[in-house]
Amino acid sequence: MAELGPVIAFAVVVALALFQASAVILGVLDPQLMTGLVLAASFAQASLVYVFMMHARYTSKGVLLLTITALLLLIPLFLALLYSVELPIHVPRSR
Amino acid sequence: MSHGGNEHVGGPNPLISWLFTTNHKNVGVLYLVTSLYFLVVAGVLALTFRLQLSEPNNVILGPDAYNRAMTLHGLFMLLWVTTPLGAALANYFVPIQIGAKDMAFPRLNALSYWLYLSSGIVALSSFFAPGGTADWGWYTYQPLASLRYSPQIGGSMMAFALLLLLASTTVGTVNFIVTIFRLRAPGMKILNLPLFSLGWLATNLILLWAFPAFMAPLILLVTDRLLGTVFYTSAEGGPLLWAHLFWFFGHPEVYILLIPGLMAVGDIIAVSGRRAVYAKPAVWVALLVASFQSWVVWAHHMFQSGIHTGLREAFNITTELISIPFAVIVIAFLLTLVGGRIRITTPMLFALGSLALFIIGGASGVFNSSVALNIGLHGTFWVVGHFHYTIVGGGITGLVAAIYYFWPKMTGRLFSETLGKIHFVVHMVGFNLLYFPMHMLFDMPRRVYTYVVEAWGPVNMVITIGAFTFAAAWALFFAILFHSLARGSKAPDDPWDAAPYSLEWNIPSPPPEFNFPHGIPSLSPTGKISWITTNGASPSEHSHPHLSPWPFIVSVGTSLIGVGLFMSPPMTVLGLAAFVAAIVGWAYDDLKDRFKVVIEAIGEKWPFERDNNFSLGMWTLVIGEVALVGPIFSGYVFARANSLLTGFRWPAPGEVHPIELGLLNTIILTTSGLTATLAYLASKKGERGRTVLSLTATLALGLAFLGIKAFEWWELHAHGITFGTDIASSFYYVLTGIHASHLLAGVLVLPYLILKAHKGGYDGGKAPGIEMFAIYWGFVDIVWLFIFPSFYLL
Repeated sequence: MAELGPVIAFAVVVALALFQASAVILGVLDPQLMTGLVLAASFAQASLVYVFMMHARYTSKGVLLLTITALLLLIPLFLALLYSVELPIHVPRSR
Repeated sequence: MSHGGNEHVGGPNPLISWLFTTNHKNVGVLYLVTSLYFLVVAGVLALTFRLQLSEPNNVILGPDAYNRAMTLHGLFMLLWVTTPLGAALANYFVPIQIGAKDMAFPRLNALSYWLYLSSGIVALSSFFAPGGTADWGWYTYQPLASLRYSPQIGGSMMAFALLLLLASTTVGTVNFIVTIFRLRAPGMKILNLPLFSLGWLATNLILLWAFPAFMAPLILLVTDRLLGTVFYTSAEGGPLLWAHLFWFFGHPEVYILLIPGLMAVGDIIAVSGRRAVYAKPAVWVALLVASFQSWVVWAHHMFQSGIHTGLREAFNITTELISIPFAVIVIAFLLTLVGGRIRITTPMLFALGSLALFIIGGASGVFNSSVALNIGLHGTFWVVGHFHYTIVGGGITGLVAAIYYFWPKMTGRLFSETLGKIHFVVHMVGFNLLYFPMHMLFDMPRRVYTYVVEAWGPVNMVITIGAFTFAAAWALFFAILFHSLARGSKAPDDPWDAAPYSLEWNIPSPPPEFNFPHGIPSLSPTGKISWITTNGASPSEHSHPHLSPWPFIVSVGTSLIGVGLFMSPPMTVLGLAAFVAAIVGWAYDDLKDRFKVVIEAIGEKWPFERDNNFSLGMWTLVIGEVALVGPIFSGYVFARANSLLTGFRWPAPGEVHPIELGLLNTIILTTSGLTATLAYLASKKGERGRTVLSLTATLALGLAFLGIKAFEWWELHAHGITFGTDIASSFYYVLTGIHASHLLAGVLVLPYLILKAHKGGYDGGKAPGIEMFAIYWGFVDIVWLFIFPSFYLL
């Protein structure tokens, strides 16, 4: 039964991918809502792959700690880059 | 270094044995010799530009030569000298201090060294390339480093050399993290480790994310230069993108340079003061806190770039805060001395000197954190003085103390204490004469090859005299070491009375091949050392041969590819052949179990008790890769948000990249992730047939994904969308290219796994290779799950 977790996770990941694609192709949602949902689906997919496929049979608290640290370290970079967006003045405009 | 040499290596031919060694002590010696050689090269370059600056309007070096000398000096001192110098001592002593016979992955350890040497060779070769080497400063100014302003081949070679170096360091980091966490002796809790090993663990936790994070902007730079992408030459990316990504790595790098020397200083103070380290748990907590804080201070290097005021205030505060944990460490070291019976030995003198210099450098750093002062001092010699006090004073001087401290153990020879003390005086006089007057030049711009202001002349002359005095100190240092090797008296096993303090002083000098002749060390809760033996013999007697040719040949191939790529295409073909042959040979050795790593897995493993060495190695690697992919995604978000202001229209969903193809590839890759996981689960049960079937399915799906990706690239090129069409295409090609190259690496490994599984190599229920692959493949899946929405859907 160890395979049940990965198989269910796989099914959900594929279902979410289909949802993402159809939401964009159909274009019935508000663009901001759609962007939020697509990104949320991606995070959910990544979490499922991480938990059920990469960890498969066990969870290591050390690995979990390293993963969380890695993700935390990226947050300031994202924020700093976003806060720097107001300055497209540093380079010649000609391409 | 004859004592550390053949005794460790053995084998028919000493030269071949050194080239093929995988013994951690020999690798440490190789690192030491190489990093000191690079130190001499970079030091001589510094002397040339100090001569140039010794008086106004000098003409010893022209602007181009000055810029090249300065660029190479900075890059080499930071990346090819100081970090590897710490790695040299760590390679030699960390396994011994934790109670292990070797590193967790001895061949990868050798590979790490040889790639480091290769990268240095490629970087130095760039000097002789047409047009000379990189001349854009060690910070690699953008868009100065772009092909438009710096078209010389040597610049691209330098960028390639840096990538090689980062690969080498990442391999080494993974190895050290697994070794320290998984190979500790019984009873060796984390806090039982000497400060040097504790510091090296903290350093590697920073390295794990810092060097991949540097790889991200470098890859973008290399593709800008070689493939014509527009990351740093477009309005949406530009120099601000480089500045953020570079300093995101660059400031943690400062602590990578500092911590090994600083922590060795702590050990030496404790041993020489004959007292336990004061408040050691607080020192460890301070180290961890500082390691974490090192990631949130980088933008103080960018106060003048015009970034948001709120950002400047935030980074002002975070930078001031990082002085607190270092103050805790310094105060703990000083309090260790209180009440101690202090012996003033050469290592102790250098330790105290290093601490004093670091305090000066640290204090001037607090001034730099202030936005107002920083803006005034930015780009002046004051800053040069500050960071040399920190890195050379705190880091390198601490490592000199460590070399003296460890030298008798490494070589079995004592050095002259009298000469050592003279060396200390010359070192301190030269250092302070060189760097202190720089603070007086707070109005003189750095990065200029000459100047006309007469008033700066005398101070610059003093600095140059200091530089030559400091160089004399280094010459004396090398003379002392050579004298010790040639004529030094035999060192006892414990010349510093440090046996109760750490394990290396409980074994012979120099240590035997597998470190512990009395058995495996074991620590009681009170710290008492005993030795575990099996069947009357030391477990250390049963071990693997410490030789493998493949790491060396891989790096020779890589060097040839690197140099040939820019200077001689046939050389690249030769290099590629050597590289492929070495990888095949390595895999064949594994298939035949020719290189066995015998590890007594009986010690401390917290907090990785549930992992094995291989799975932890792969976890560490992929978690490190988060810092490679994450910054590139951050750059993508930055460019995309910037495009709203610059007027660049980002392609609409489906306009350039067909959603259907992206969705198809998502399903294919996710399915392959499932089959990889099923292969692992089947191998755990010893089901050979299912294992082979699942792995084969993974291979087929991986190839299908790559085929579709190749088709997409082909179609884009056919429609005139190339690497450099715009910022959107640049990010698309590079992100999908990095992802595809990861996938390709996995696909190339799969036939080996299938073959081994088919031959029953995983029948026993243990399949570390497949487990590693499943972890890796999962990571590749996750990266794609973010690429798909980023380029196809949003």
